[in-house]
Amino acid sequence: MKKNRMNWNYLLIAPSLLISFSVILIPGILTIVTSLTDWNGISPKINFIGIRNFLELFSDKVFFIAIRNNVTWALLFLTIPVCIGMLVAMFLLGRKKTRSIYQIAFIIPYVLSPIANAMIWENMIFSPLFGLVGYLRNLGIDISSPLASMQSAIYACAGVDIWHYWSYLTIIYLAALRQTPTEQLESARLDGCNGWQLFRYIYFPSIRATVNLMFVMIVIGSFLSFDYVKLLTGGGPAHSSEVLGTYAYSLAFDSMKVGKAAAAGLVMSFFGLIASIFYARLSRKETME
Amino acid sequence: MTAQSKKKKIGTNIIIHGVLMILVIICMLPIALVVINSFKEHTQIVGNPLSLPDVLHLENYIQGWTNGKFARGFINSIKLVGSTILIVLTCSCLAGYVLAGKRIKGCGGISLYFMMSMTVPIQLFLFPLYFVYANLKLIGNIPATGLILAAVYMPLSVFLMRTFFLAVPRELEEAARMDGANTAHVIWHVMAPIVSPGLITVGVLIGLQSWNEYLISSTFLQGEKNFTALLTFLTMNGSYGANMGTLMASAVILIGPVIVFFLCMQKYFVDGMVSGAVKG
Amino acid sequence: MKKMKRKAIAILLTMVMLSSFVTGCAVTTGEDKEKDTTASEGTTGGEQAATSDQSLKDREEITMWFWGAEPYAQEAMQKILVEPYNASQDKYQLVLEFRATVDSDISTALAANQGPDIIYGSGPAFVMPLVEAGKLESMDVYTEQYGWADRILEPYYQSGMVNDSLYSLSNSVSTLGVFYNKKVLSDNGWEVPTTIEELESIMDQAIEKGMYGNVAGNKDWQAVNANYVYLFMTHITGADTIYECLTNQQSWTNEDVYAGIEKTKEWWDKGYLGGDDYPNLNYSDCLQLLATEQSPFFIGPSLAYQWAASYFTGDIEENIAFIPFPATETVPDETYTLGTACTLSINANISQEHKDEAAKIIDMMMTADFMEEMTTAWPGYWGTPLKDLSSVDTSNMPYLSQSYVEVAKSISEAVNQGNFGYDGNVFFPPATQQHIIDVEDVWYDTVTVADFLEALDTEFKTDYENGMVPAIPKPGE
Repeated sequence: MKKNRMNWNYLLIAPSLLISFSVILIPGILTIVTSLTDWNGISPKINFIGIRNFLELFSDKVFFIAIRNNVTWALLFLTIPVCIGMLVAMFLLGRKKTRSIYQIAFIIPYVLSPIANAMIWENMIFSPLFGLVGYLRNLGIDISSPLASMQSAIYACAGVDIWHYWSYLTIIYLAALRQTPTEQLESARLDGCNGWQLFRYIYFPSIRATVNLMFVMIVIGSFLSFDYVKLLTGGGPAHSSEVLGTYAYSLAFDSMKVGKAAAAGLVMSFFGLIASIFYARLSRKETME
Repeated sequence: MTAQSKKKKIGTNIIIHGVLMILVIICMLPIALVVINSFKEHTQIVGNPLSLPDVLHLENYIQGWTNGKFARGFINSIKLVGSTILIVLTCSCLAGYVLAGKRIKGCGGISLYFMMSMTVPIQLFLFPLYFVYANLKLIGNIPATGLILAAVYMPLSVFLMRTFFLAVPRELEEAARMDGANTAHVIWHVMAPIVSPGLITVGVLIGLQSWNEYLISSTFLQGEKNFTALLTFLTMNGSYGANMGTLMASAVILIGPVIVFFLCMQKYFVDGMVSGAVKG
Repeated sequence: MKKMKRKAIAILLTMVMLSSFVTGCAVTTGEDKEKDTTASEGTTGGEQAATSDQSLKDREEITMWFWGAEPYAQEAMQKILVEPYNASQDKYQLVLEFRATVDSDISTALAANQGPDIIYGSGPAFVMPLVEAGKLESMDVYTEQYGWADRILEPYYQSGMVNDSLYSLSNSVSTLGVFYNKKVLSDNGWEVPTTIEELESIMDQAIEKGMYGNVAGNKDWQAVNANYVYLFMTHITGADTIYECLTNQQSWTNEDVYAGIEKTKEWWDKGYLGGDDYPNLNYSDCLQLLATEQSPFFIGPSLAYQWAASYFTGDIEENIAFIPFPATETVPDETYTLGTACTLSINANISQEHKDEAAKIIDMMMTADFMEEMTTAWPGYWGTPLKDLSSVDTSNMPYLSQSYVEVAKSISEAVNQGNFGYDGNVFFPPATQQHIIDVEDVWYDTVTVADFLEALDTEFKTDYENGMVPAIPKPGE
């Protein structure tokens, strides 16, 4: 009887594993192999060149600009949307009646595609011809699009993505906050705790697991970031807003260096892997506590 | 409550609502601009995106609809999303069942695999996959592309379904088995009713993501007749300097259905975003 | 009640998914051809199809991918290329697809030995790696058959050769010059510039008045950067020096090339390249600004006529004119940097019949008649590089098309006299071209001109050793 059941379960989980293996794992391994070659994406001539792609990456100034931008992206996302999300979640916690209406309004940017969002911001806000920038300029304010300056380009891209993303955190934090055990809240209030103390000693410990998970997801996502940079600046001007994702993409499609692009992709994965291992350790520690 | 503290409470209330309203404006302003400008003529938009239209130029919408070939685009989008959801829900439901009950050896390893596969950037498996698909003549095949998207969203769905299955008390299953039910019966009659809201939730979540997806669909759905609505819109964005009004109208056509769908399904959507992150 | 509602939604969703899955399997195979013809007829907006729906449905498809051109341009191609071809025989139909990402689409498709029958390329440099990978068909047989060598301007014909075999044909001449708004110049009392000093002086004055000196921008198409490099390579460095560099007789780090790159930096610093808005403007935006009198000049490729067509309409249609780049100290004569709009090649991995048809269609595009019809509808993109353009009749053309034909004819003449320079999209090898696009590193002060040229030299040497440099015609011949 027991033997039969075991067989069934292997069969049940097989489809998901099969699909994932054939689409992600195997091509992934092939790409890892490609990173050790000089394949240009078209020619049947493929030469094994060892770690030369990686050496070239490490001597390329743009590679380090990209990593720096990814780290900047992670830092921006770990602070701004997290704080705003937490704050708004706390606000909404008390407002039962208006909660859903606010949630709906906030989350609309999140449900829209990056293409739509990037195009909206590019044309309606940043464009010196059609957008707010142009409008302000006509009013006499000397302003140019933040996408055009080397210093602000990456921040502009991150800004649009933050606009898109922060409501997601709000909703997650709100749901977690609502699960805080009410007895603890009651007793803390009776003891005379004010808002900030409530947050620090009751709410926050209760939602720690969620906060940790979001931290890891944000770090992983920051190193995979691609869409908004590609659509808004393409990595420019002068590579100042380049991230690993756009860097790998342009290596593959503009410079025809697929081997090198694969190497860059591996670096992206590497950072994400570190973050997830870190998280696995963290959550194991938590369950043991 | 004393009068003073009541005043303080109202004061705080106003500040909080004020902050929230500012955030609402920030969130909605760009979209409002798109809607306003979709009714204006191109020359009216130049330098003045904030002005309200004096005449509602509905022809922008007609033009946008035909040029964007949205009829075909939406059908393709629906087909793509449909096939993705079908594959993902079937596979992740079964996988979630297995993982939740820790029914096989290696559950930990499988979970680790799925977690790690979430860190893989698309660029990392694009080329070899394209090669294989091209040789199998599957480029432009919508269900085949749905398979790829399903693989990409598989980890998230598996984890979410696992959470939902965890909520099913073990005693229910044990009781059913003692009554002589086999595995199929258990899944279909005992668990399915309980996790079906979860299925809808995951379906909505994955549906939204695959509707908005463009990197994989633009690579594997080559051929204009196979383009999803998003892809045709992307094409228009490149070659449409001349008429911003039409472009904005097309944008509204594109994002309209998503917003409407979301408003109807928001409960499931919010539930989906939350589970796995909170309960998991 | 709630449970019933949930169940209903679940069932409905499942049905939708299942039905879409099933239809998804069906539609991508059978009904495509019909959808294609109806789609293409839709874009021609009520034009009478030359052949009936029914007969087109059964025909084999000859496919060609093109970039994401605006609807009026797509219509023009349908009417002037597709329909006559379809009507000329009854076995095949030409199917055009317009894609914004055509370059990367073609690369990925060819990598897997797929792709369209007629291959659009953005220039010979794009074509070379494809040839080297064996993806393109040699057109030697067809050039004999159709007599292309005699018909087509020598430098353009040569640029399509790889290892003495013909692999691509340029569809059009293109050059870099100065578009100007006649009204802006006359309103401000400025004369049409004949020297670079006069040009710069007008631009300074325009900037002082709050206009752009010259509208320029690389939004969505970073390769615009390279235009200015090639422009000054022709007019400041001089074509002779560039010839020697391209044939590996001289290093790129010489002082004449240095002067050319430095000039681009000088123009950038003075705000001559669109001021602060360079990364935010594309060609279309630039032409719009020129039309609305916000700038006296647009210095760019003659391709821009196609965007001018959208803005210089009605009353202001004749406000625009084009002159070759004015005289400089090194290059006082009328000289044209030779570029192309696109190249046409034949896929090597298709049937012989398809290759023959592809060649036939390409030949259709290499005639003066085709140029005349296309330029009437779509000025700027179809200046067929023919030696003899005398039969092109401009009398019925709108102003912009006429203007463009004049430009094409001048280019043709200048080439016959040997007065030309080298635009990267025709004559430069791929990695070198890519590096030149990065000249914005110099503009933004992250790299010095000297370092930029050192790297350029290295890239070029690699290209040269890999045999990636096209045949370079000698100037002055």
